[in-house]
Amino acid sequence: MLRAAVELYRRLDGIPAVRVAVPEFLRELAPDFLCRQRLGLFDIAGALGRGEFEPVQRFAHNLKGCGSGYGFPRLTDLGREMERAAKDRDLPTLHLRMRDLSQYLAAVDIE
Amino acid sequence: MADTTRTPSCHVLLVEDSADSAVLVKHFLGASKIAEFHVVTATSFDLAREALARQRFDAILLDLNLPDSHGLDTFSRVRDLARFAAIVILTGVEDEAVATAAIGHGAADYLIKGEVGGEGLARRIRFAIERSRAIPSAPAEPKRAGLVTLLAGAKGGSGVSTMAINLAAVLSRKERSVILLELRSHGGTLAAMLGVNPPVTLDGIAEMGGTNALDASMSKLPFGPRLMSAALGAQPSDAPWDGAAADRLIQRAATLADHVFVDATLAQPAMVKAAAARASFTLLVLERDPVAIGLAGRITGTLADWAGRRNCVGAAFVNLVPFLDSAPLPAIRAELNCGIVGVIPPAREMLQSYRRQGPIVLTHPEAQVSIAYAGLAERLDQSPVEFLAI
Repeated sequence: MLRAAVELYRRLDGIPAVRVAVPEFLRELAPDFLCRQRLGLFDIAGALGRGEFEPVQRFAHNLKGCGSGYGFPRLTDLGREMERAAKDRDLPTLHLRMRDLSQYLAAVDIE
Repeated sequence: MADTTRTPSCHVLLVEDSADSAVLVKHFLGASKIAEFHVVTATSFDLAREALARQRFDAILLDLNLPDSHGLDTFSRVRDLARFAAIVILTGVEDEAVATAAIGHGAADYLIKGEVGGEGLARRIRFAIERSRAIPSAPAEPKRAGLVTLLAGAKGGSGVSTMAINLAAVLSRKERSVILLELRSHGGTLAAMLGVNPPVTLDGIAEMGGTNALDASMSKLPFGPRLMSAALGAQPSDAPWDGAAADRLIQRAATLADHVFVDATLAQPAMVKAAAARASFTLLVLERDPVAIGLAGRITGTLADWAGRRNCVGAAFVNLVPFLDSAPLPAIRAELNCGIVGVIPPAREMLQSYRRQGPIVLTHPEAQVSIAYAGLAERLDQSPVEFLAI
């Protein structure tokens, strides 16, 4: 359901797909992982709207730790930058990186 | 025919608050062909503590930053609860310095999240387990060379536990600190005899690290000694004790007391072997009847071999009932092939009184049986132990 929504969103916005070659042994897990990050992104956007940085920092820390493990090094990089920005309460950077993350999660496709 | 292709089984506690990370690790280990991994997940330190109290693990995969514990402190706390498991730190690149520090404090390895996956993860864990088994426990603990005495019965019901209790009582009266250690995984008798319900089973104690945790887990008896015994009615655990675990426990107990009396049963020879090797003296407790003496004569040589030296095995007779036609002591000594260190006279009813009043050596110090126990305790309080001149 969520994957279908992402696909629709991507087509409507004309976002080109980013194809990521995920190792065979991770293909079973990667789609669910991406879904969880998409849902998490909604949550932290809400938290940030309430001025809460702690949930954002936790989310980013997890992203940083797990992204590469699931075959998405770009998510690890984004997680690292978001975690630092959340820790510094650097709202402009945080918004920029969350936008990057949102676009990546919308565009990424598993090869 | 034996199945030689069977992969080893590894029990792993994954302490990780990230569901994504836990899914990944479990997936990798579940697919591994080098070992059969059984993974239990704990998402906080408190849950990890509960898991460690329930079960023994070969390895612990530990994220240092948990909701209720952070950094190196997490490692120290887990290590104190599971001294003998291989602890592998799961960390991010930014926290590598902390992970390196944990290695200096006894962690087996550390893994950067996202950098090790697939069979590589399984291989690192297996390697950490094997390495931690091969290397003796590194952390320094206060060394106090307490005398370890193994008490073994030549046959069931010979009164080993009664003897251990009374010897411990005598030495406690002499201001010696004494630990009574009933070395069996379950179904022990010391706690039942003394009316104590130990707070932690021996399986739990074995997993505890550090002498402080061990000390806190013992029951303090009203007449002085501390007791480490199997819980009442405990069932055999899935991961039965081996000799190495018994040896580590005895070693650590010896750092906490002047005397450790190990009550072991020959029905668990791995335990007895480990205890004999660690003990300064092995006391074979037997009745003065031909069957017990015949049995004992067959095992004194083995006990001395396990101890690895001579004159460290001796017999103590308990006379539950008088054997008027028993052979004289010199003949018995020859048959036993070891010296005799004590002969306790018959006093069955009096000996049973400790259930209500305490050990007989305290309630009836003037009795012949108490005097005999005091003499035996005196000899065991010295090293080397002196045999009776018979």
